[in-house]
Amino acid sequence: MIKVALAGNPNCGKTTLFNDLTGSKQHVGNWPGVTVDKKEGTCKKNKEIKILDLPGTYSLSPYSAEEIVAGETITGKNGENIDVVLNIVDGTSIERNLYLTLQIMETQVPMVIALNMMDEVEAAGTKIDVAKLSEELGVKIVPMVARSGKGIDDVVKAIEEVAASKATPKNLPIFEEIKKVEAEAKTDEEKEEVEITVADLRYKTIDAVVSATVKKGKSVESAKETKSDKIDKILTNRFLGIPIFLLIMFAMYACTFSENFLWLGINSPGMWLAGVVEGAWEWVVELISGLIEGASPWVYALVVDGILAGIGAVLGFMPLVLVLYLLMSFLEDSGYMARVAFILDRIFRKFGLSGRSFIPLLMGIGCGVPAIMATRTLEKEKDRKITAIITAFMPCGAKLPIFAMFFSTMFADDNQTILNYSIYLVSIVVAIIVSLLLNKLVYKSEASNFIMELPQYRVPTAKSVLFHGWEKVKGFGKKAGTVILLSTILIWFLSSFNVDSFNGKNKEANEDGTIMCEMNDSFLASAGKAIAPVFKPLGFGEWRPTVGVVTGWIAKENVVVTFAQLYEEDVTQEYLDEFFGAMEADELEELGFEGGEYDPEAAYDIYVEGTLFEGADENALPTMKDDIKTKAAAYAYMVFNLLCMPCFAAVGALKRELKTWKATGAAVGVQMLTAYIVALLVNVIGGLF
Amino acid sequence: MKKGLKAMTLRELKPGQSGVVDSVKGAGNIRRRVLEMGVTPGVKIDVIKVAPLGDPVEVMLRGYNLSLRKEEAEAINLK
Repeated sequence: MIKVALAGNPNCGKTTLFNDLTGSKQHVGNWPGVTVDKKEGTCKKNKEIKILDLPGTYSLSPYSAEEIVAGETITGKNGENIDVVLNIVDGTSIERNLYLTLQIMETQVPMVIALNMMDEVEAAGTKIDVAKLSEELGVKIVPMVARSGKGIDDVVKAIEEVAASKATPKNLPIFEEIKKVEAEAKTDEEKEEVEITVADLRYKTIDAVVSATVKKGKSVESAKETKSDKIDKILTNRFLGIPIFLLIMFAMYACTFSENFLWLGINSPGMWLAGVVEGAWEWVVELISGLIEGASPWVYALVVDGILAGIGAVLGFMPLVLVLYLLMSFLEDSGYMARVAFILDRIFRKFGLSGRSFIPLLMGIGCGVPAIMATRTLEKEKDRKITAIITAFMPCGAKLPIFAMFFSTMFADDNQTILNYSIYLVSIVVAIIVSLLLNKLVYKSEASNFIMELPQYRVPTAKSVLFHGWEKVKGFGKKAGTVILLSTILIWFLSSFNVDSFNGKNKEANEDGTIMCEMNDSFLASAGKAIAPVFKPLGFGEWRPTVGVVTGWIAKENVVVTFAQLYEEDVTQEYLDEFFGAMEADELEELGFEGGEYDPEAAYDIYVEGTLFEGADENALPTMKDDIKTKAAAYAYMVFNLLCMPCFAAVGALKRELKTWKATGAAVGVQMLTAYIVALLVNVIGGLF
Repeated sequence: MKKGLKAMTLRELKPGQSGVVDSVKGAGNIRRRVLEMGVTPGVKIDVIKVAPLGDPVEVMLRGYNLSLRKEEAEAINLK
């Protein structure tokens, strides 16, 4: 077996080459301790070749998570026994790319250079003397075009040859020189000076090599405007840049989440696909529940309310993840994503974030799950982690019913528009404060900078965009799926059983002989009673609101569903009959009663999802006011649900992005603590008025 | 050096102007990063544009486009 590490700068076509070489035979894991994907694959052309994709880096100096991973792998420090390093070099910016090449050469591992983007090099009129360059470096060089797959076979052949010959790169004289000056440096100050000398030495060598082997085309020499420059003139224009950016963001949001796509009265591609998947899944659920109808009630409930509901939750999010990620990949591959950071840096660096954080935060208003998955496109590990944590603070679609219910019942006389805006304001302000605090307290050593490449604009290939989208969905299904499924089953179990389920008392008492119980007698209710005092200072320290918080973790709108279940004395059949009885036929029809005719059996579900979710009954749930007495307490409860641990699907997405349980646990800890502190402040300060 | 004794920095260049790097100052990490990206003494840098909000700036060197903040550009002295 030949083990190959693929190394190269960001934006040099590395991912494309990796996909060309391995096809769909890839495995995504993670490097220990960092939020960096570890992708491995088997070469299509030669099954003996295993390829390990290193993170894209400009150098091997060990200062970022990506650089450390790349450096340790190449030198064999982390136990990966690499036979050959395949270094992909972007021919259009060969000097900067060769900096990494020299660093790899210094380790004297056998290597091959894939000289990429030769089509663009030729189009610019640049001539690269590949044979001479290869001789100067003592490394086999294969000219190629990763986008079209041209030259892939030669790359594989070169890997085979170098793996057999074990030929090491030329030991350039500067390598000795570098070792010498590095050995001489003793103090930190001297070491810093040395690094600078070394960087200069490397570039001097590169300049010498390049001037002997590369003849730049006229267009490059005269810095003539390329097509990419022309596009950039518009997209990052002083006046048009921001409006265009906002337009693109709006389009992206609309494509993924809109229920009235471009005011056409139709669903967006994302919502449409989600509807299709949901419909198909309902059909499957019906089929399966038909098959197991004879089973005992708890088995039936486990399958339908636990397992199938859990799988349904995973499936339901997949279309949103897919559509959003297709769009993100398009922006990423086209080169625009780097400009998003460029345009917004001035604002976001004040909050200790990257301009790219804007996208997950915005998409979080639609749904946190795809939004958290989208943090992967951020460049720095610190930004990825912080953005993933604060994206969960956004008032996503599923949280809106909670606000609607409280605004209509507890704040009926107040300005609803201002109340609604206040929620968005709270989430943004809290997100900024938490980001600043995490920057200060957790990541104190990292000085921010914005020294980065703005890649050329390129038309993304459909293959690459689809591949990324699919990969993301698969990753979500595999990694987040387990979290969602298990936690949904756990909450189902806690809310449907109690001690009497297992000593035969329930079986005797229940007419249908089931061992299950109602939610207000369940383990969850007991747990709610035990935990409730913790929330006393927040103004809602009663067991029913506490249980609402917990069931909200399955899906945030469940808070409202649970309230209807737990304050059952407020949602009686008589109440529903009276409530809907006062309505006209067309009102009833709009709410979902077939033919505009009141149907007592359908009333409960319609009341919960049509009326409570929309905040359409000012007199709803009067008993709730015994538990949550003041406006301050009600607002504290909303804020707590807004900021505390997001739904399990979002936690699954967090786990997928943060990689380890430890990091995921820490993230949830930060969220719970934030929710508690902010809700406490709301209740205490609000109580003063 | 045009302005008397004070060296000119990259920050002072306007879009469309260019200069040749003389030296790079600044804090360790950022200085190293700038050098690694190819901003070494003797390199010619063209200033392409300033971001819509006034910072960062986009420059071109060694055949590629690089962005950096104004405070980082200030650490790059020109000949």
